Amino acid sequence: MSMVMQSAPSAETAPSVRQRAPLFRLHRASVWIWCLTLAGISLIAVSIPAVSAGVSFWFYLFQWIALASALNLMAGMTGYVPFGFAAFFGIGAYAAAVLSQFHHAPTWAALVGATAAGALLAVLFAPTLRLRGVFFSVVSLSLAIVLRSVIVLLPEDVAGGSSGITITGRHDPIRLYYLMVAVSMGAVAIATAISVTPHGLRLKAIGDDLDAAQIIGVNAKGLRLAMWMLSGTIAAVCGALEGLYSSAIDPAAAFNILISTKAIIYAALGGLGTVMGPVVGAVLMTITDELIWTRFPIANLFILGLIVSATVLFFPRGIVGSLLQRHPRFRRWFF
Amino acid sequence: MTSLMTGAIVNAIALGILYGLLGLSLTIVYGAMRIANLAHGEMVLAGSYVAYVVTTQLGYSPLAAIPVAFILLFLLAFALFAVAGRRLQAARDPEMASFLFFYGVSLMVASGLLFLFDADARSVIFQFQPLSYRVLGLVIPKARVVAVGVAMVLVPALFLFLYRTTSGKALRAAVMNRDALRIVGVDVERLSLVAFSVSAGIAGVTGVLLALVFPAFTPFSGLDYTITGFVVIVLGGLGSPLGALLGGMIFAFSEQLTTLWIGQSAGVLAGFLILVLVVAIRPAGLIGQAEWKS
Amino acid sequence: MSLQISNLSKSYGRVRALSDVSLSVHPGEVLGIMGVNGAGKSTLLNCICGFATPDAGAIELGGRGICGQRPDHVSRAGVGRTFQVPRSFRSLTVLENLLVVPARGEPSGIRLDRAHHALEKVKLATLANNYAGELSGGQQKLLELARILILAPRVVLFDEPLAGMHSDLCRVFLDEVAEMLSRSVAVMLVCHDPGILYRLARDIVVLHEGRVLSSGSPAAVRCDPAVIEAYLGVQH
Ligand SMILES: Nc1ncnc2c1ncn2[C@@H]1O[C@H](COP(=O)(O)OP(=O)(O)O)[C@@H](O)[C@H]1O
Ligand SMILES: [Mg+2]
Repeated sequence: MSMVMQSAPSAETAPSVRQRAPLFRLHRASVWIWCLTLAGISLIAVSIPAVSAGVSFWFYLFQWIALASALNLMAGMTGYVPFGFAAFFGIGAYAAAVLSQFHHAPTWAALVGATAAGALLAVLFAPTLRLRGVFFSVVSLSLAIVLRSVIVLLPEDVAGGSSGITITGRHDPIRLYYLMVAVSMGAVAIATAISVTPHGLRLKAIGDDLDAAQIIGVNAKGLRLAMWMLSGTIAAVCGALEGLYSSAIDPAAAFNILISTKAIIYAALGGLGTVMGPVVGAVLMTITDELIWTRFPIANLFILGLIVSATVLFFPRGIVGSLLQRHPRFRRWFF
Repeated sequence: MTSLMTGAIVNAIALGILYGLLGLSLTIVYGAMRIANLAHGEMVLAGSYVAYVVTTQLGYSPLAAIPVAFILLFLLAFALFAVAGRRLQAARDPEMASFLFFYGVSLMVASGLLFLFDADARSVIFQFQPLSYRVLGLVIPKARVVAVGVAMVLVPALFLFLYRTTSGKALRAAVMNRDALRIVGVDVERLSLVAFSVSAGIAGVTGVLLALVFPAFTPFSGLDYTITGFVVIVLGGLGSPLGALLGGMIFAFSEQLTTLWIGQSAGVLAGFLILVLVVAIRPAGLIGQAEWKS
Repeated sequence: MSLQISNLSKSYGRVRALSDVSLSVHPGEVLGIMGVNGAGKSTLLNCICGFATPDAGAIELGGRGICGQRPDHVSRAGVGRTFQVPRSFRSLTVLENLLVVPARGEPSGIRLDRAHHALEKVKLATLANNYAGELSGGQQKLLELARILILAPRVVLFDEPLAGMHSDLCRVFLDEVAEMLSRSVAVMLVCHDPGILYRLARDIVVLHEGRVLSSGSPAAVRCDPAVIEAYLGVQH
């Protein structure tokens, strides 16, 4: 009974805090600073074509930011690591290329088609979410390989066969670049929005302990499916933009498992489960990639491997994750 | 039965046992330590290149490459694990950490091979006497017989080790519960180190044997072997040695028979389709009891 | 809301973890569950909250069948539980472990306030911004209790909440149970310590090898020869 008396003051103080939306451990200003940073990045990105001859480096930089962030929505937030992530990229690339080349669709229609294809594939593959751990990873990888083989087996006038499709229709590369910037900033914004609402907490809770999450009423199945759809669709749009941008696609490149592994590695090096991590990881690794490719043409793969392995040994939770782990005061500023 | 069919079956048996071996060495490490060795394929590939050096460059018999590959990869893996093993297993998510770490290793090994041997496909050149056997009107290359023979010795030896020796039993127990092992006084760190090195050694031997069966390989073939290895152990059931063998056989048979009946590209598809089907019906794999369901 | 269980059976392979178990828990009352290790106590809770599907029998919550439903549906229907081995979300902070509970229309400010208040009650307020993974086992049990306070279920299942807990902290737990009872929550308490059950419970069910060995008022169960035999020399 004594507890009943003690709980009374809380009911009285409650109205005074009603306006204060909780951001959990975060300092409120941190989200604003992060949004301003993203706005700054977008501003720089938009002005690149005016000052630089080629946008190719920047296009791929933003592509990897988008892919790493999209992968993180699934792998980082729910603990499901989809090795078959490339399937979404590939299906998006193929949908856009087929629509553009065989059905003369304009850019926007090709992109809409690719989005729909990605969402459809996510629904088709949704039953794999019953599995977990390596089972999920390997089955999702197998499905990607199956999908690639099916596309190779389709008649050439439907999907280009084993030699792929060359897109002769005109798609302005600068416009595609702007779209890629928009997609990647959109992906990061979605991750941010999820992360600062209780949904982000719920996703992490599912990753930590599924049973305990369900028993407090978290709809794990529904949330996981939502992340799967989001993550897959973003990857499909990336694939479509890349396909149109490079104007040539083939099954081996579009469904390259390196797309999955690179997205996983970039996100993990930055910090899986954090919002900033995949962005940091993608930016650092794309730049590193670029630098060592040009400086050390022979040793580039070796150096890349060394960086990946060493980072895992010394920052096992990724750069951002390890920072938060070691310095509790940063938990209020980085997420 | 047509001779084509018989040929395909013989091929499938040869490949199946090699795939089984591939899965076996992978599952020992994955099952017992939750280490996803993404560089496993590169270790196999390194074994193939050892066979290339020993036969094509130095002119010895491929059989001589077997101990060389085993020792070389054993030592490399020993050094690697001595440096990284403890840190990886202490990570919050050893599976993810090891996956990334070994991805880095696989890049380093592949680029090392690229540096030493160029990007061109290599094949082993060797002279067996006789070059092939005729059995029931069927020509079976001696290389295949040798590969299968060695695998047939290696697989039972591994099973004896896993099921009859104390270390083997401890290793299999580690699939279920590491902490319990620690409490009963097993030096899990040392056990892991030895198991990882042995697994790498076997991967190297597998590479020599695969080089006898598969005509050519490049520094980039490693990922395919890794994928095959993981598919095989998931198909059979994670952590189950017998499952790895069974998974290898099924994967090889589906690949070979579909290639025969439908064509090359369908052959690739069949193995993966079977994996998806098996996991849909028996989500723990054919003979696995690992926790699989969400 | 009362919880009614009738003729529940559950086997794992050849082990009959539960056979033909019937019992009920009513608002404002504690039902004590006793039994030696392996008697089927945790299995009973797992069946109720949807982690295990019973082979036979019915589970009714306020007259509605909830047998075989998904755990999150059971939770939404008003059942909360703790685990024998505490399970917190280790990558969330202590405070976030409470905010993660679905709000169901509760304004976020009020939720935050209740969370802070619950942490004060279970004496974890100073650790609010630590990761839950950094807590000790006993503290994690308290965190689970705080989660139950936020969830405010109509029926609560406690699985050995006091095992391994310091006596000061037991006090915290017992106070909370008293408060829940005053709000007519139905409480099912799995407990190793008969002393606590004899004091708190309205009725006690003793499970043994999956069967109900004895049930009734604490006084009746205490004198039941079958119970004395099963517990011989252990607690009496
Ligand atoms: N998931 C499971 N799989 C197999 N057997 C189980 C499982 N859960 C419980 N059991 C068995 O059911 C019996 C009852 O277990 P449990 O309910 O945990 O007992 P208690 O909580 O009373 O100690 C035990 O024999 C246990 O081995
Ligand atoms: Mg129990």
